[in-house]
Amino acid sequence: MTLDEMRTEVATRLNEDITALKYWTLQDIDNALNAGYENISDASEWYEVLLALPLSSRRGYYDLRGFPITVLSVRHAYNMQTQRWMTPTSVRDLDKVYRQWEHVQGASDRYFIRGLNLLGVWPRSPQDSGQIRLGVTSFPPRLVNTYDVPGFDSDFHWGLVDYAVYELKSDDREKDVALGFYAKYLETEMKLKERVRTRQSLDKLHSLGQP
Amino acid sequence: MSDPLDPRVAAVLIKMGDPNGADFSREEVERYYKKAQDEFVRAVRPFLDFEIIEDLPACANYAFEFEARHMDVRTGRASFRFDFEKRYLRRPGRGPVPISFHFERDQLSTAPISAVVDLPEENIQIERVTWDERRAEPLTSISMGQGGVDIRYEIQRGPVEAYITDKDGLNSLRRYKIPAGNGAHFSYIGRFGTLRGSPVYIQVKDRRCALRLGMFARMTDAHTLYAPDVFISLSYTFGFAQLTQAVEQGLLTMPLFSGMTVVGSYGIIRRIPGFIPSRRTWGLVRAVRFDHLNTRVEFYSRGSDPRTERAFVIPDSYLKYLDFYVMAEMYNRQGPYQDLAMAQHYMLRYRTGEKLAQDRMTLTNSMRLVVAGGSIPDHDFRPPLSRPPDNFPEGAFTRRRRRGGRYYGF
Repeated sequence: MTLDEMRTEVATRLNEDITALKYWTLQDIDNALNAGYENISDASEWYEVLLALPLSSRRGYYDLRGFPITVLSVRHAYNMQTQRWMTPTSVRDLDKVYRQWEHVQGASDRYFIRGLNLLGVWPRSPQDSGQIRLGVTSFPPRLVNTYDVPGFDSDFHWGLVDYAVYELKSDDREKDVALGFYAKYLETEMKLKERVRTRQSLDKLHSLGQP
Repeated sequence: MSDPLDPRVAAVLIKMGDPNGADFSREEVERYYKKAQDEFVRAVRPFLDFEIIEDLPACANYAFEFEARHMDVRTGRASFRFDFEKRYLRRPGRGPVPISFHFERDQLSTAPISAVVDLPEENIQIERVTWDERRAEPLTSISMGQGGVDIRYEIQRGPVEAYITDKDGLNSLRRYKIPAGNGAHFSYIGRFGTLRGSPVYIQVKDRRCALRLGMFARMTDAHTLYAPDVFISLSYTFGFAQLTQAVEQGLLTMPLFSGMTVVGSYGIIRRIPGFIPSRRTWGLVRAVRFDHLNTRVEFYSRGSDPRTERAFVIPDSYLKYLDFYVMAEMYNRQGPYQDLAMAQHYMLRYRTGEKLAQDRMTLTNSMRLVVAGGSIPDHDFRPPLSRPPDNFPEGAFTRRRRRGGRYYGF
C-alpha cells in the first residue's frame, strides 16, 4: 500500500473523508502512520543497511551515534583493509588473553559493544586510514510522499493502519477502540518479527557445526 | 546530547488532553521523566562511563569558604588539613591530607596514596577496573582476609592487582595493592583556567562544580563550565584567536600529543584524540589524565538529570519508551485523568522497550564464537592440585572418591 492508500484506510476507520478531513488533519494521520512504521521497525529490526566506519589510529571505541542514521544493533563488521570478517568478542575475553590489550595496534579483527552505543574494535588501527563496513539495523526513512511504500511485505502494511488508528483514538481517549486496534497491530508485529527471524530457517539442516 | 526535554513534556501534555497543564504541572511531568530515565538506566545500563583516578597523594587547600564545596573529595584525592575544615566538606575525606599544593606531590619520597577511593556519584555498577591498563580482579574482603589471599591486604603496596567494594561503603573502592608511587600526571601550574600553553594550565580544583562532559579521549577527562563562579582566564593574555596557537605550541611539544593535527584556526581545545569517544557535543577539555600507572574505573552511569540539562542523555530511539512510562504514571495518578487500564497498557509498552534495549546490549555478546573445549582459558581457572598418578600402588595413599553425592575418604 502506498502512503496515500494507507491514509484513506485510516480515515475510513476514523469515520472521516480523506478529501475533507474535519476532526483530524492529514499531518496527524501521517504522523500516526510513521509512528507505527517506526514502532514496527524497532520491534522487528527488518531494515538492514551497511555503513562505512573510518578507522582512526587513536581510537579503540567509536560512538554509534555519530552516524547520520540511528543504529539499533550491529549485526556484522567487515574490515575493508584486511578483507576479513571481524569476530564479535567481549572485553572479558580480551582480558583473559591479553593483559594490556588496549595497547595493541594492528589490523582490527574483533569488535564488541559496550553500553548501547560504544563500538569497540581490537586491535586499534595503526593508521588513520581504512574503514570497517558495518551491517546494522536501523529505522527506515519516513513515509513522506504520496507514493511512498513501506519496505516490508504488503500484507504487513495493515499493521501501520491499525497502529495509526490506535494512536489517534488513544489521543482522543477512546480507550476501548484504541486498545482493540493495538491488539490487531501487535498481531501484525508478531508476524513481521517471525518473517524476519525465519527467513531461511526452512532450509537449515540443524546439524552440529552449522551456526 | 539527545532530544530536549521541554518539547517532549509539551507533547505528552497534549497527548493526555491537558495542554495547558491544568491538572498536571510541567514540574510534575518532568519528575516523571526523571523517574522514567532512572528506571530505564538502571534496568538497561546503557551508558558506559570511564573515570580515571590518578594515583596521587591527597592534596587540598583553599582560601575561602565557598571554595570548599568545589573541592574534589569525591575521589578521595582532596581532603582537609585542619579539623575545622571538615565542616566545609560535603563528605569528609579519608584522613588528614599531608600536602597542600599539587607541586608538593613530586617532592615526597614516599607517596601517601589512599587505598580507598570514592566512586563517581553517577555510578550504578562497576563494569571493569584497570590499573596501568591491566584488568584488576574483583575480590571480596572475606576472600582477601579470612580467605587468606593476603591478610595484610590493607597495607600492602605495589601494582594494583585487585579491588574490593564490600567493605568501605557502598560507593567506594579499595585497591589491592595500594599504589606504591605516583601515577603519571601533568604538573599543573595555576589554579584555574583551561588548557593554554606550555606548561599546560588546567583547571583541577573545582571539578565538582562542573558537569562531567564525557568529551574525553584516551587520556583526557573533560568538563564543561557550569557553575557561574568558575571562569577561565582566556582573554586577558592572548585573546581568543591566538590562544589556539599557544595551545598548539604547548601541547604539541609533549611526546604524548606530538604529531596531532589541530583542526581549525581559532578557539580553544575541544577534544584531544584518543580512543574513547565523546559523550556530548559541547564543552571544554578541563583535565587531562593518563591511563598509564593510574586506576581506571569503567562503570555504568546514571546519566545526567534531564531536568538540569533540559535534555536527555538516552538515545532518541528509546525516548518514546520514556514517554510511555510518563503516561503510565500520569494515568495512574488520582484525578480526572486516572485510567488504570491505560496506565497498565503504557507500562507494558515501556517494558517492551526496556526489553528491546536489553536484548540489543547483549546481542553482540551472544554472537561470540565459543569453542567447546575452549581455546580461551578460563580466567578463574586454577591449576589442578598435585596428586599421585592413577597407577600409584593402591593403599599407598588416601584418596577421596565420590559415592552417592558425598565424598568419603578411604
